[in-house]
Amino acid sequence: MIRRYLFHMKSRTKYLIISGFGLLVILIIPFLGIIDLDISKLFSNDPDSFIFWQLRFPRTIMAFLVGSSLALGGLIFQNIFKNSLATPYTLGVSSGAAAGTVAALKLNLVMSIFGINLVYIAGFAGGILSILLILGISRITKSYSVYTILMSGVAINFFFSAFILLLQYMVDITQTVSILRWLMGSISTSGYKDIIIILPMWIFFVVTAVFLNKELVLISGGENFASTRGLNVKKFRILLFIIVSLITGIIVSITGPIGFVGLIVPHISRQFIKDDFRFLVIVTVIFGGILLALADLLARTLIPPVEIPVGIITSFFGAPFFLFILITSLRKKI
Amino acid sequence: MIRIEGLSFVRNKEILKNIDLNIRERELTIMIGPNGAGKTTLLKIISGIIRDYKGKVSIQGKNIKDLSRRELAKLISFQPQSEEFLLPISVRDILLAGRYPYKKYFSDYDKNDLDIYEKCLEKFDIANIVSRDINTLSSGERRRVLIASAYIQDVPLLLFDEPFANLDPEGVMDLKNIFAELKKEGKTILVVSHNLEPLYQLTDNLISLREGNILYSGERSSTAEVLKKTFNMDFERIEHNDKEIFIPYEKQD
Repeated sequence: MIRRYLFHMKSRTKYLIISGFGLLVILIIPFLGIIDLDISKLFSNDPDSFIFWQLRFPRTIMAFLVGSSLALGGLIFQNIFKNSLATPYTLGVSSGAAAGTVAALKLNLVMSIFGINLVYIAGFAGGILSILLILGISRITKSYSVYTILMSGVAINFFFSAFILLLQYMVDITQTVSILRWLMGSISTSGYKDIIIILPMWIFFVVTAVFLNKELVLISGGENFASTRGLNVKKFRILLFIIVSLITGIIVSITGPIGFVGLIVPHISRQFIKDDFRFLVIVTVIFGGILLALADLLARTLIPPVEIPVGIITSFFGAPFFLFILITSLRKKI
Repeated sequence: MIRIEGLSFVRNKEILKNIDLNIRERELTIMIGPNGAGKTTLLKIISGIIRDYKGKVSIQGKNIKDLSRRELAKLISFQPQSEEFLLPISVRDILLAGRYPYKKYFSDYDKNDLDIYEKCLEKFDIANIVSRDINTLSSGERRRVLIASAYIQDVPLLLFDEPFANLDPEGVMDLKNIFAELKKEGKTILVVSHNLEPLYQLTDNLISLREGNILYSGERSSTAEVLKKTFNMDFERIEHNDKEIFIPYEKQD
């Protein structure tokens, strides 16, 4: 019923409602948790204030930024490859970034050059390596078909998983545990340190995607459609690969790989916003943020006092949901 | 309008063999030829999709290799036989994409683009389906939208590859009227079609392509002869209500 009603509204109205809803959810989430907070004490020198401002609030913001970036990365990859299964996670960009990060940790490259941590650079390099592998395979086989690209992604995922396992096997046992925990994907932040790193990138990413909405529409129509309307497809594709790999690389090196957000969120957003791609970009950002913030809420409240890595939550709920989408869309076709 | 000199194209085999061709301004030209003759390849070369050819292709006196994609997209639009949209994409987004050649990076579609867009909706009678995903449209509606997307590009030269394929009689009539109007507006039109009938009255010139060679290029007066040579079959010319129809009846020995 709600869905039917939403479809009859204009995209702009839907987008405003969704934005308001998103803001509301993000404002409510930090108040929820195992310990009940007393709102009156939030601005005083009290443990409640600390829990709110130093733990839950930055964590919710972080989850929002990460979730929305992953979702937007997913939307962009889906448009580039014209396929709703193509995301940085399924194509191996995330696992490439994870491998890069683990390698940097193993080699103790926890230092910064010009203020940029080498671990992030390693994550970015790993992500770019995955993309180069996929493009290389596509070029050799002269096929940009979904089959080629997804199969390449599967192979790349296996390869980098093996690489990560190898590195894990080689490090000492305490490091193995911390790497393993990181590999499960989690948003456990301390204060605002990570947010300060991610926020400028996030703003750049979202603004770029919103402004490049015309090009993203063109590229989703395919190479011929885009190039006969004046877009230099090759250059634009490379630009997008670099941007998405950069964001994915940095996020993965901080939170670990978190799956299914990039796959599911654009799919849900497309159900709501059908006629205007500009709004689809923004709604994907909002839904991605909300979804991961909610998943993180579940992660920290489901089995107290244990905190489940959020990557487990997203995969646990994401995989069946994805299958549900797949089955319903296939049934529609028949 | 279009001038082609010594055009050759090889991909695995020789697809186009040293072709010379002229297409005049404000005229409607139909290109015929058996499957695999190189018709689609020729359209793709003229529209700048294929660039690794030998020879020279100029539009309005400019070599297309010297034009950027954007400049070319202001001169020419190409409607392939089947445009595949694998992701959901709205009619609105497809139409506005036609205004892209006139836009810079980071600039949104402005009032002028939206005015042209509104006019286009009216002209092609598609205002009621703008919010729909193109993949949910009937083939007639789909074709109408795609032609509208070529039209909104506001170019002097329009190329179409088999625009009448998979259309019901109503869709064919509809499209025929659209072509008549495009011609009246002074557009130069090049259509690849196996089906001569719908556009024949509007046709000024005929081009026949066979195995990468031009068999005929000129006015449509000797059509039955051209068809015979092109398809290696005899065609009977029938006149009915001032219309000419060509029917194949027997394969030559």
